[in-house]
Amino acid sequence: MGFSPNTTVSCVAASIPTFCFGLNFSATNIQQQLCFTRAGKTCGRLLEATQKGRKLNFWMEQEKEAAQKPVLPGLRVRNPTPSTIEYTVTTRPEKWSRRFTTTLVLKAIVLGIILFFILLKQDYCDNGLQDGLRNSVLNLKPDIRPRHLDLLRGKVHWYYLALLGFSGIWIASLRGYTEESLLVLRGLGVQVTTSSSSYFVKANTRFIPTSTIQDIFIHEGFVGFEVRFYLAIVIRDESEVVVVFPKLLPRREILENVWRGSRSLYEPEVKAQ
Amino acid sequence: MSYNIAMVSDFFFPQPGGVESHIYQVSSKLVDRGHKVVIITHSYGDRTGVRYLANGIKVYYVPFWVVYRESALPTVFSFFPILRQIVLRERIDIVHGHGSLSAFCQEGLLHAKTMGLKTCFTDHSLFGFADAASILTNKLLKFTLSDVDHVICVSHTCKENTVLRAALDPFTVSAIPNALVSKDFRPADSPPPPSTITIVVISRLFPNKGCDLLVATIPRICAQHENVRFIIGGSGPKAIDLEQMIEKNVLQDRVEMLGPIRHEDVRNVMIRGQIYLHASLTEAFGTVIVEAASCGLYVVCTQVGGIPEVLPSEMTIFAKPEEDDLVTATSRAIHAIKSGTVRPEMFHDQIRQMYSWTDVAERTEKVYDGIMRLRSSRLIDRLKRYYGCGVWAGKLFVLCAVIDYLLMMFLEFWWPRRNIDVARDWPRKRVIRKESPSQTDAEDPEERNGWVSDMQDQE
Repeated sequence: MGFSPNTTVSCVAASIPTFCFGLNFSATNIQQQLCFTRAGKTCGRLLEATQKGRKLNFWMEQEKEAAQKPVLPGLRVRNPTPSTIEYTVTTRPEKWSRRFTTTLVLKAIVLGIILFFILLKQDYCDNGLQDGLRNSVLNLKPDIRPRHLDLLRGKVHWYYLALLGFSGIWIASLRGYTEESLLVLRGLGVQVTTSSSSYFVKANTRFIPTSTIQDIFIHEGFVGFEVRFYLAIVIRDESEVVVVFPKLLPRREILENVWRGSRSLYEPEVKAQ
Repeated sequence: MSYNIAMVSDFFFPQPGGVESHIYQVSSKLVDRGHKVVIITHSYGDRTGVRYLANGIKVYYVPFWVVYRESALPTVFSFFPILRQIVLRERIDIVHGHGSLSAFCQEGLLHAKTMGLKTCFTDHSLFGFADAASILTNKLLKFTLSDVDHVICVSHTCKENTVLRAALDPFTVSAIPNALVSKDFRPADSPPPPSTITIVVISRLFPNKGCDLLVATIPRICAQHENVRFIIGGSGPKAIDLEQMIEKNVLQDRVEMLGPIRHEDVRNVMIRGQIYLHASLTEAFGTVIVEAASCGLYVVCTQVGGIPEVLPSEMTIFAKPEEDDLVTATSRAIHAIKSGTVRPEMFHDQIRQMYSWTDVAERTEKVYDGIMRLRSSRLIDRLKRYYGCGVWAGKLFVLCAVIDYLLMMFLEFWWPRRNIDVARDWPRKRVIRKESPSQTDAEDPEERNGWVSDMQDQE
């Protein structure tokens, strides 16, 4: 395999930012260094860089694999760089699992039915016009049309249909799962994210700088008829704490795991485990 | 053997009172003896959720409606889901209810029995048998207590009363008195001079505390004896009557009304006087007269309820709960103080020997040992017991118990046991139980040291 300087550099530079957020600066540094090296030394350096890049890639693959494996059921940990760690708690079904497929099929059925109704309506309207102007998609002949369908589409108004259409789209846009995450950037702060219920709505995200964090703790509270554990962040000069994973409120083992990780990261003097 | 105990009651801090401090003190001493104690009460204002008190006592302030005088709304089943959650997450063995007027306690005992836990109940008050409210409470008490493993009463009179009210087997009822933290109730360093006699009254000013008796007797005592002053502490609906009495008899310079007093200030008020006057009409135990005697006051009290068992006769003068007798008794007390025939400042050491929370906790623990040895009863046995409670009430109680059981089944299905996180325990103290008879004084620093060395020996 022959390697040219350009591909190597771009490979290294491109692969890093996609994986990690914290290493952006260092990646550009490598690029600059490589660009400004003198021609005589370029070859050796590049070889070194490639090996480093390979190593880095290999390490990242390992890391990626490790990240895929859940530490605890329901918790996913991503550790893209030594100073970043992301904890994700989710109810998202596995791809092509039974729940995933069922949801997909149900959504398709809902959308299909609505589409069918709209076309039927259009067909009906067009049939009121002259034969020459017909451009309906379904183009059902009057004699093969079932009677009750005929009756139905005659009665359905356009605005009902519009309502139905929008609600169908809304149903199809529902996520059907909740995903909440805590991203800890050592020395910078933490970012809490809660996914929205719909694909159209942005996720609810909040970044909390380390300087405003007073404490992170696990406590218990009453939620409906239950007593649940929660992980909370105390912010300076705010009367209310920020609850991490507010919708899912995961189990105690998960919270303890996250708590340990978050503490070790937001206190720079403590080494990450 | 250490147990996980849940104390269930409507009455707890921040509300002041006898039941509240009893629960706290006993819990604290039980924790000292190596048990785990959780207190479950309803929320007070914004005090909702889970809190920790000193000694690692965990308090669940359950959000609930409050109907009357800090009692929660008596719904029969609504408390079950939360109680079940708490019981499972804290791995409770024994549910201990306090106070017969507490809806939480009654419900808690019923549900705990349904879940197959051991139950215990402490009664803190005396009730009549005649008026409508008492009849209703007694019926309800009969329902919950007919299946409780053991009942604790604060005095023998209280025990008699409870046995009669709830139709219990007297062998399942124990009398364990209240106690006091005697180091908080030391007598004054220099007792007030006997030239002016000061009589102290500290009580909530309610009709059942004998305020009408006070209104009648205070003017007569003031008329008979010069150099007698009164200090009245506490608040309540009867305060207005006392104020009227003062104005009518122009006693402003001799009777001082202090208004509500916090529990930690009680000693400072008490040591200003030589005699404590207690005119209550009904009292299960009367912690306040023990506190008064501990502060070095000569106690004049009405001979009602459990009061006669509380103090030895040399510390008290008893009176019948009537005007004339109370005046005579107070006069005798005033003469005794003036002539110096009683030495109230010596009372403190005696009281210290007699009452301590460590002792109470030890005795409570013995009750727990007893009920843990009992076999838990089957549903059909429980139903039989409930059915025997009355012609109509029996059937109603059976219905309640059956619904409760079905509700438990539903809860097991809806919130399965495996989905409930078990809470971490506060680090327990390691204790060697002494087999020798109880040493009653835990407030003594030497005792504490001995205790610590015990722990070190074990390590």
